[in-house]
This record gives sequence, structure tokens and C-alpha cells, in this order.
Amino acid sequence: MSMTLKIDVGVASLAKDQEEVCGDTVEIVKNDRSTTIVLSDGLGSGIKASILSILSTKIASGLLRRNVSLEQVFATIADTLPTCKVRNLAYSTLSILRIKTNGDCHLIEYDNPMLLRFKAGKRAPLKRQKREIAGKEVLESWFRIEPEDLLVMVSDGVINAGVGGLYRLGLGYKGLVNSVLDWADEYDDALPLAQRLIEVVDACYLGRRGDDSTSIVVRARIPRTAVLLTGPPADPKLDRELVDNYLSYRNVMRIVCGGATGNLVAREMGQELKTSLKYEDPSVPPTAQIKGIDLVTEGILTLNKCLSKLKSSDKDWRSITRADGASLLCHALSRADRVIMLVGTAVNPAHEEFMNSLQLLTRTQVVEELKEELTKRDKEVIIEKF
Amino acid sequence: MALLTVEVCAGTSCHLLGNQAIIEALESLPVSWQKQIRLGYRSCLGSCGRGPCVTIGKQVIEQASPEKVLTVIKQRLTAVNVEKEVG
Ligand code: FES
Repeated sequence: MSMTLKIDVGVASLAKDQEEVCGDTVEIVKNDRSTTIVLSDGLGSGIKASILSILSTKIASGLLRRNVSLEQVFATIADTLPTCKVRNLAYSTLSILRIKTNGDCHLIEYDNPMLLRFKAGKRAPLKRQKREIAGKEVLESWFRIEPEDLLVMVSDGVINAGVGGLYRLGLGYKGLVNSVLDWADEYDDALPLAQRLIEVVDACYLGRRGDDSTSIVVRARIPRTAVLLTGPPADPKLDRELVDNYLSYRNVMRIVCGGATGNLVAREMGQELKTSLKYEDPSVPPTAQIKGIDLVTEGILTLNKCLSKLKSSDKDWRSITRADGASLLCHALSRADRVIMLVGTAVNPAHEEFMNSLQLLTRTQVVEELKEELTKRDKEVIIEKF
Repeated sequence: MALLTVEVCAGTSCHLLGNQAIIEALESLPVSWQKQIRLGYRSCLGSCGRGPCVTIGKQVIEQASPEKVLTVIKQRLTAVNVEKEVG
């Protein structure tokens, strides 16, 4: 059976001192068959470099969307971009990595630092072959990414970080590998690791950045799944079936949102529901505990609050440290790659009155909006109604 | 002596219907009373339309107010104390 891997890609960049734009460009093209990452570094820095590297990546991503092979993509760019007469260099470097959902990878590198692969906390070098495409000598590699593997792609500003300053020869591959190994365990998501690597680069440049720097981190994993149950079913006869369905998901984070729903789950599981003794945030009712369930919160208010928190935050939810139900829910949903929402459609007549006056979204509305918000964050969301 | 269990419903409706005032009142009870009470929360007692709800022992108080809750607690605690004296 082929398994669909979650390919988590994080990108962080730093522009050369006094330049407003970064000459490195990254483009990520996703479809249901693959994720393709294009990294290009324009010669020099500033606007001209930026335009050239944007040009390369835009050409690449346009072609990739039409499922053209990597070598054709590369050839088209190589033919299109001019060569600098003065320095006799290509105007732009290019790395293209395509990762299929089953983990098969194809990599073409032209003039960029080599992609680094790590397995189980160790560097695992790739076999590469020299090859000529459109008159350019490139390095090509075919390999397979497995769960927990880590790939790091950087522009040469990273490798050269600190030249003549902190390091005579710059951070180098060795310094980069060490930094990756130092931090990889700390962050299991791609973005914070990419950001951390760029902080290291910034530190090497001692605040005087000599080049544009970009780091791209790719982590493969079995998708993290959260299953959220909210609302009793319209027909109480379905209570049992709904809870059985809910519990049939294995190796997932289990979330229950709703007081009546929590009571119903606890009853069907033969467990006790214990409500926490603390209002962490006066506007969010306290959470509860049921053995075997990872998070139990109140329903409508918590879901609405969670939605507004997601809407008003940037993509990174790791910084949240509050422990009220809505924050915990945001956390749980943000960590997940897939979210399955089992939504009971029973209507609580007592809710109807205040729903309008308080401008709260109903359960069905709020889960739809959550879906939209989470999909924007590259998560797969499935809603099932009962 | 067994403690008197007082549980405030913290479900959606009761929260919106003002359970906070009751919680505050309970948290500022005189220490001598607090010692005789076990305070907790419940998630929805199923009487959402008639909230806020509070349970005191086995008794469910609907449309509760701080005064109502304190009165019942007082009755229950003095009843227990009287029993003790008589016994
Ligand atoms: S929310 Fe208190 S009884 Fe339902």
C-alpha cells in the first residue's frame, strides 16, 4: 500500500544589508500528486537579482503547474535567462526538487549549494550524477524521502555566512550541518527550524549581512490527524454510533467540543467527565477531562473564540502559551495536518436566543469557517454531519 | 463531616446567563463556610433554558442567583450543624 506522506515545507530568508528585497526566490507548487520546490538565487543582490530569480522561479512554477518534467522546466529556464557578459556567469542559480506524495524525489541542482539530507539525526548524503541539460552542467539525484527524514536547501548566502568575520571561510557546509543537528530535535515542524537556521546565519554575519540568505527545510511525516467531535447528533438514537465512529480512529488526537457532547461521550465510554476548576480566561468556559480523550472543551463559545484567534494570528501558533480552551484548541488544530470534524446537528433551543444577539456563529457555521481557515494553512479538513 | 458539594454549571448557556457572579460569590464565602464545601464545575446539566444552574448536594437549582445559592447553602450548612448538635 502506498502511503500519502505529509510534506511539511518551511522557508525563511534574510536580505543582504541595506537591500530591501532578497535576491533569492522560492516557489512552492503543490498539487495532489506532488510538492515541488524551486529555489533560485539571482546574481548579485538587490532589485536586479531579485527580478532575475523571480523570473526563473515564475517560469518554473508556471511549467510545473502543467506537470512538465523537471528537465524540461530546467531547460526552458536555462534557455530563457541571459548570461552575464561581464562576469560570464549565468544570471541565476536554480534548484528544483519534486517530491511525490509517495515520497519519490527528483532533484536538479544548478550552481546552488547542495541539498542536505538527514536521517535519524545523521547526515545521509545523496548520490548525485552530473548531467548536461540545455548546455548547462547540473547535478541530478533520484531518491526517496521517508517519514522523519529532513532535507535542507539553502542559497549560498547561508554557506558563506560570516566570511572574513566570525569565520574565515564562512559557516560552510560543516557549520550548517552542525546547526541543523543542534536544532532539529527542538522543532518537529519545518518552519521554526528554517527560521532558526536563518537566525544562526544572521548571527554569523554579526548584523552585517553580506548576501541574501534563504533556508528551506522539508520534513516528511505520517500526517498528524486530529478528530474533533462537536454537538450531539440530531437523533439521540445515533449517540452510540457516533461515539463508536469517533473512537474508531486510531493514532489521532481526540478532541471533544461541547458540554452536552462531553457528557454524551463520557457516558458512552463509561468514563467520568471531570470539569477543570479554573477559568483560565473569563470569556472561555473551563476545559474538562475524559480518560482517553486528549482535549475536552465547551462548544459554541470556544469554537467561535478559536476561529477568531486563528483569523487574527499569523501562521505560527507555537508561541501561544495560554491554557484556556480556545487557545488549546487552536494549538491542537494548528499542529494537525488533517482534521476530521464529526459534527452533530442537534439544536439546543436555549442557544437560539443568544446566538443572534451575541453575533455568534452556530455550530455548523463555525465548523465551515474553521475548515476554510485551516485549509488556507495547508491542512486537509473533512466535515461529517450527523 | 462530609463536605457539601456545590457545582456550578459552566456550559455554554449557563456561562452566558451569568454563572460568573455565582462563582465569584462562592469564592468569596467566609473561610468557615468554604471549609465545609467542595466547589466544582459541571459541563451542562441539561437545563440550559433555565440557567444558570447550580447543584448543591443532590439538589439542582435553576435560574440561580448568588443570593439564591447562598441561601440554600446556608440552610444546608446550618441544618447539618443542628443535626450534629442534636446528635
Ligand atoms: S449549560 Fe448549564 S445546563 Fe446546559
